[in-house]
Amino acid sequence: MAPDDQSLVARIAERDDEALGLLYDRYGRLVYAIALRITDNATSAEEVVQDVFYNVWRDAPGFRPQAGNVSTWLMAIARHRAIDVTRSKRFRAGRREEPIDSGPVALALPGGDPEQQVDERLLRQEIQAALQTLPEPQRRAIELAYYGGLTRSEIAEQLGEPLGTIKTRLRLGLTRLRDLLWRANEGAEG
Amino acid sequence: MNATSHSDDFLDDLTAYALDALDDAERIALEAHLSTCPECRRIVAELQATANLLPYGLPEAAPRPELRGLILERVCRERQPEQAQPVQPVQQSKIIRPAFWRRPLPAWSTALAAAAAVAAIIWAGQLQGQVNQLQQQLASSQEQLDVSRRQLEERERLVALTLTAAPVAALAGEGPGSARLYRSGDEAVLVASLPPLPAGRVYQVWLLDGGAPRSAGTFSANSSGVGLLAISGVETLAQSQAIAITNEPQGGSAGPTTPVLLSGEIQS
Repeated sequence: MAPDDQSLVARIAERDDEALGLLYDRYGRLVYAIALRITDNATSAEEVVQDVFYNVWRDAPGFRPQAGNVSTWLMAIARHRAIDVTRSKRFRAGRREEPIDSGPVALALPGGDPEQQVDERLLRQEIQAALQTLPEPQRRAIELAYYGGLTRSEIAEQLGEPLGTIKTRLRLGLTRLRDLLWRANEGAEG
Repeated sequence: MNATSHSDDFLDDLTAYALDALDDAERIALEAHLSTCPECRRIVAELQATANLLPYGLPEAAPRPELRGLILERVCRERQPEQAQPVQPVQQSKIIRPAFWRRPLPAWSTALAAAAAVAAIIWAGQLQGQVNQLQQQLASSQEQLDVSRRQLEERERLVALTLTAAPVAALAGEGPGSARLYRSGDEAVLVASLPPLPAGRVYQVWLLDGGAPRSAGTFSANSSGVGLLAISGVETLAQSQAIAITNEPQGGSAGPTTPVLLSGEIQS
């Protein structure tokens, strides 16, 4: 039986490095994708991935895993680490980072099974399709908040738009995504 | 306060909170309200779980394969001088980060976790179920495993096809769910997002050409609400004006016996 997320984190808390490896097999690519989206740099993204899993190792003993919150936890660390990295880099140097190598990527990780990849791909399609239905300004505002780590006042400032406009865009965009993505899963929950 | 009476302004704040986009003063004020309003906590949890689906839509990417080993090496190296105090995740960073991560889990995080679990259903929980299922099959017999492998390969192939094919129909209905029909050359695939049905029930797909509906096959939705069906006979498809999905007993029916759940016109 493959262990669930919660028991993996419980084992990590017990200093079981094999469990950390399994958690990496399950979420490494997702964490990397987030880091790459935010840092726009493959080297920085890999550093973020290392930090994220190191943080998981370090903080697992104090973490209370519950259904569903392990992935939320990982994504929160990934976003915040990656945002930190871009901010400190810009702050320090303001230099242009090397572009992402856009060559073909290896899809398989050790332990990543094909069934998972099929589901990932379906989910990706579903989410991309939902995002496509949003007006561009709404999508942009959401991404600046989620991946950019900006507050809504900062978003308004950056885009040169009134604060009220940004508030509305965030609300309309995210509630629409919720309605689109949630409907299909209500049945699954109960 | 009754949440249904909350204004759009309020929903603005809940949305921004879910996206970590409030400044500190706003956040503190909102948290005071959240601590007393279960309805708002539920909305925030839903919105937060929605936001956390965003990364699943990012382009497929993988780090170098060596990274796994580097991470494990690092934790093994640092394992020896352990026994220090249990770590406070948060205070260690010098860089300002959104408060969500800096603070300990609030008391209402249980509600949030419960809603986040909905998002996780799509991911971990049910993938796990499928993996477990495959592994049980492995234990029971190699033959069965080969069958699952072939099914999986077939599913992979169908998914790959939908990535390159053009959608020729978008199905919608009154209730939950949606579906798209893709066609590429001689092949057509229906990808549906529908709630899983109880045992003994399946979704059946119908092609409509003005006469009696013709069955195009049945499918089940997995626990994340995804169903796939390869539709054979593209000639039949070409003659059809519309496509519809109903809920039918296992094995399918000769004609629809329940109301149409989703339907859409087929573009020729």
